[in-house]
Amino acid sequence: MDLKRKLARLTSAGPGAKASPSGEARAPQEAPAGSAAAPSPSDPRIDSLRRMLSDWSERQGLAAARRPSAPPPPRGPLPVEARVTTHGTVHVSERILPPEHHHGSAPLAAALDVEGPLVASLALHADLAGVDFQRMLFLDTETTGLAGGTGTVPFLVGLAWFEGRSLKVHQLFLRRLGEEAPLLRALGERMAHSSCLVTFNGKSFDWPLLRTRFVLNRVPAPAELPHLDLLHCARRVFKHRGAGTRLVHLEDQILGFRRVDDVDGSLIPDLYFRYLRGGDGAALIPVLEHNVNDLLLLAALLGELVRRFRAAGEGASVPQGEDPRDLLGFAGVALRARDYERAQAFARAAAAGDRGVVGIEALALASRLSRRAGDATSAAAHLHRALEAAQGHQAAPLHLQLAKLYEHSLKDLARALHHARLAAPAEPPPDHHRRVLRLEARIARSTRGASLDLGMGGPRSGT
Amino acid sequence: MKPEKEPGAFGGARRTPWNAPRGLNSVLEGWRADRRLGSCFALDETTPARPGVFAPIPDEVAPQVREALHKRGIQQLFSHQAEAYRLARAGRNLVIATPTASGKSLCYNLPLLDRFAREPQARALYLFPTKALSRDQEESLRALMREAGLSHGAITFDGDTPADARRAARERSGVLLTNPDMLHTGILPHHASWARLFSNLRYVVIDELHTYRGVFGSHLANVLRRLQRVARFHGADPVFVAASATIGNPEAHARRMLGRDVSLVSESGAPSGERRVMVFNPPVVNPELGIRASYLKTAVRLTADLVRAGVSTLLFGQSRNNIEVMLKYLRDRFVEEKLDPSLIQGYRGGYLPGTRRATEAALRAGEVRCVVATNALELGIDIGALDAVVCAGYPGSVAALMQRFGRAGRRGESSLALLVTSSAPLDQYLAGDPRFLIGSPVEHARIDPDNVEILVQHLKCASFELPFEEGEPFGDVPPEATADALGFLAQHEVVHPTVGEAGRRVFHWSTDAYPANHVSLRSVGWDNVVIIERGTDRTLAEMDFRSAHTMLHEQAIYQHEAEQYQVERFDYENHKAYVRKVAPDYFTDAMTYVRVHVIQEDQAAPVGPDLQAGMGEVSVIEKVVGYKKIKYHTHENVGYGEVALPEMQMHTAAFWLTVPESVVRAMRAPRPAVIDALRGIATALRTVACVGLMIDPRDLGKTLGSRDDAEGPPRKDGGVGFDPTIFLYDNVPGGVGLAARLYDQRDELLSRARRLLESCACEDGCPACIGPATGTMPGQAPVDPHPRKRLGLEVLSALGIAGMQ
Repeated sequence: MDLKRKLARLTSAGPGAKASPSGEARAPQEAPAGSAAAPSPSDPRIDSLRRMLSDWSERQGLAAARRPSAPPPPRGPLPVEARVTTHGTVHVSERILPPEHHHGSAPLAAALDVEGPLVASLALHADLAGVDFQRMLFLDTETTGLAGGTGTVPFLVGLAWFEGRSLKVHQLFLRRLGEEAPLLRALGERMAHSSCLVTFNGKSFDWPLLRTRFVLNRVPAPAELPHLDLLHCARRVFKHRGAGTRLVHLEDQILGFRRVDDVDGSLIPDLYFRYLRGGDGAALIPVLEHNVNDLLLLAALLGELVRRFRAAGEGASVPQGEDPRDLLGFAGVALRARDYERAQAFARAAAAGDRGVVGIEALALASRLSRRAGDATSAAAHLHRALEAAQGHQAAPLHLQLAKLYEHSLKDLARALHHARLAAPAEPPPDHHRRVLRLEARIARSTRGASLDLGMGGPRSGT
Repeated sequence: MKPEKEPGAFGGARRTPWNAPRGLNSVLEGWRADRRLGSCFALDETTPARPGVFAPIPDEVAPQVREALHKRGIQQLFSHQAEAYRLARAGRNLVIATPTASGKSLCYNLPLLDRFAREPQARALYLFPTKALSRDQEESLRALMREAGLSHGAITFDGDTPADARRAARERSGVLLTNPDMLHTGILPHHASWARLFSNLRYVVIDELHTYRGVFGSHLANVLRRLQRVARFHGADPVFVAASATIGNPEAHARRMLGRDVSLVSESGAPSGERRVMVFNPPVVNPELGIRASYLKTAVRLTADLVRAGVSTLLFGQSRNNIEVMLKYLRDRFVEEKLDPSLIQGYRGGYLPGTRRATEAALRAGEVRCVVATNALELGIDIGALDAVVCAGYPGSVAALMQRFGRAGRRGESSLALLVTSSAPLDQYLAGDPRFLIGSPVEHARIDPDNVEILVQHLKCASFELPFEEGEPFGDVPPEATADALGFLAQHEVVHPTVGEAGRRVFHWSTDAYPANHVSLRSVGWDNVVIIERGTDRTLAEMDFRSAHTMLHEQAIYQHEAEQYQVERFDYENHKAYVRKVAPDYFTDAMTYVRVHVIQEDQAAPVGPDLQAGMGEVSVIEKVVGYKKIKYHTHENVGYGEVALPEMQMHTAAFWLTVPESVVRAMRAPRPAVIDALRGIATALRTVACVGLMIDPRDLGKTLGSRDDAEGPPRKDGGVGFDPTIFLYDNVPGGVGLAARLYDQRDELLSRARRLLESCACEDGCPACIGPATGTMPGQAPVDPHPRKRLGLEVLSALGIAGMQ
């Protein structure tokens, strides 16, 4: 009734109408126009409705309008190739990177040399220990948005895997919305040949999104693979670096690779939508490049992380020149993975390389590890070294550790009390009070015991 | 806190022992015998007791469920419960519209449990308007399932649900209890993750259906269209079971809401005791100004009489502030009378859940004799029944009033339902015409799911959820209309059409936004404004952009949980208001200027010889020009301030009445006086319209203006002035169909307005009828004093509007 009338008037405005707020870019007519009968154009309500709806869409579009828009696209065809497979036609861009290829400072093929147990420790993910990393699958998607949910479509699924020591990059491109099924089947098939997924933030973003696509397109989802998400690994290792752990930062700082003319990730959806609406294919070349770089970075980062983590193993000392912040990060990871020997090696190397906050934290960690290993003397020595470097509020927690160490392990109550008194800022006042009282009482008892032995001074009443 | 505690036991001699009668009847006799009180009762009716109608538990009910009922002492069902079970089991969508406390939840829980017993993987979705209600139901549903030996589980899914419980909700829980907002933003747009729920969805229960009316209801109807679409994708076609308070059109409302045929269950089999329904209109203390005695104090006084006599009483107030004030007055009174003040407890949103649960339990156990509550207690929270319910002020709809009244009446015993009317126009209208409150329900819940603005927003959300194929309907929106709307969205590049199988267009979502985040169900149109407290940087609340203009302009006093804050900065661009806590002796009231401009007249017809009625689309331009400072308690005007905010424009639907300038000039009164009287008639029209359409006065805007453009060419007849036009418009962008209904019922509307004026006891206009005289604004000439009400009636007569007999 009313609605139908209103909407009929709406579409009757036709493609020439000013209803579209963005004017120049209009949806290509891939199908015959709406079948609504054209009402008399003299109806003044058309104007009002049109105005109402364009007001509305303006309000909707306001947020979108504030964002920067993409630069004018280059011209040319889209560099993908249509391949007819048993699943239907998929559009693929493929390249092979030779064994000697480096991404920044890191050789890609180093990723092939990683040891399962080391990766499992780095990732704090025991399932990865038994994985055959010769058959890992690097995965990174470009999507129509970051919001997630059923309306976000991965339009470029970037895959990479090793064939021999060469890395094969295989990008699946969604040429049109609604043609996802062949792409998803191709992905499923590739996953069936793979041993695990390697991603950056794929556990929270890429994989759930793809799983949703399988459900929505009624394509049977492939079996879940072990999943190595390098975001979490990198965060743990590089957390002592001030700068964030965003992928591009890591790429620049860890691998010394700086991208040239990289496309701003927030513009990617818009570039794709322009392409869909009849835009030039070549405009998407930077997006494909961006995706390839992300995949190469995954391989390079994995190789690099494991190489550096491996360095401290088997009694070998950590090579010179490593950033102490990273060494401390590795030490922390090794500790959480219960690889105490490796943790100790990293902690000592970090302490050797830094006299500041990182060094103090490294020494505190080394002390914990020594104490754990039953070497209380070394534990105390680490803490004393740390105290030498400590300034201001940094000292109190070290004193607290020393107080515990002297009281419980080294049985030196006097020193314990000395450090306990200096530890006040590091624990809640009641706990602190109790600790000091207890130590004083124990010291008093032991002195009394000693004096009794000497036969000096009379016993006090037993209160 | 023991109910048996005698007043005397509290210590001290009682000064007036004879005023402490026991029991409801003696209190009522006392009131009627008191000459001063007795004359204030505008209504005193008795609805007779009704015996229960029972039915055996149907044979098909699974043995374990029957067992669970037996354990609860349920050997037989009320007739309506058995009827609901039979219908739901047969796969019929249904709406249950029986009074409060008639065992409605068993109507929907029974078929569900029975289904669970037969189909272990079955799932159900329960929708409640508030979080508190879903938590309440979650507990009782779990208990019932446990007793039936069912391990399906029930989980409330809302903003407060922790992450691990969310996973359990998605993967394991048999019943998901949630609210429309969460379904809209959190579940439907992620339906692939909820595949297990949707593919096994057997029942969707919508409780408190009558609360989903107006704009909110129209939104829900569209959310349900989306829900049905998603369920179909996952291969499910659930049965919808809705429960409603008694309204005039439960079946039609449910049908419109669901877009499907529904069966109605409205004959309650639950027994009810005799109920005395009374309306008390506080006496007039200032006849010139039509000021009545405080309804809050009156309600406190009457409630105290009841509680003192051992009558368990629930006292409802309209706002958090009101109930705190009444609670204090009641307790003060009890302390003065040497009675135990802890027999009286408060109950409102904002009290900690634990405190509320404790009060509910104490009430059920009879340890608390009186609870002073807001509508937080109105919706289905289980507190058992009480002897008396007192409502201080009309809650805005008969359905809400009846729901509150429904709390009164223990099994088979007589009870009291008392409304104390305030001096607000609606209250006074009801005091003048209290028959409106008894008899069959007259209110209609109205929604307009095809409201273009609302529909288009949800079509966007639906496209996000699943691509649309040409030829697919959207709920009960036919395929052609759906395709047309999608074509519109494609033009705006919100969706992208591709050619699918068989050459049909398929519309895919094609922007990087998450549309549900931009659609708020509880109001339509603009974004919200965040209210931030300076100093603490705490977010106090949010307010819709429109209200922000009048409530959050700079210098405004913003009232929140009985605290006052002054707005120091209103960041219009970024939708933020910065406030600071203050303790002023005044509050502020914004003065707005509203102009209505007719865009398109859809319908027009004469009413009588001169008056012209019309209906169509209008643009409403609203601007806040200043504010008044109003002193607490005395309500005197203690100052003005200016406000500089951009004007707001809204397209909506309006109903209007144009009075020819010739009629204005023919009146024997100065023109400003006639215009003022017309303004008063607009007030009266809005009052009767709100009662008739079951809407809140805020839903309907009114103004007096001109149909002609103010900046347009001068009048052809060369006369000064304009044809004054009364506009009543849907106070929602795009409109929700109120104006059309007013237009259809224009004759009755006008007669009712006239009768309101005639029946009002005031001498010459009061807030209840023709409204207060226009306040003077700085720099504006004062309006000549004139007999406002009489002039209003004369204008109506001149226009040929006779009173209704």
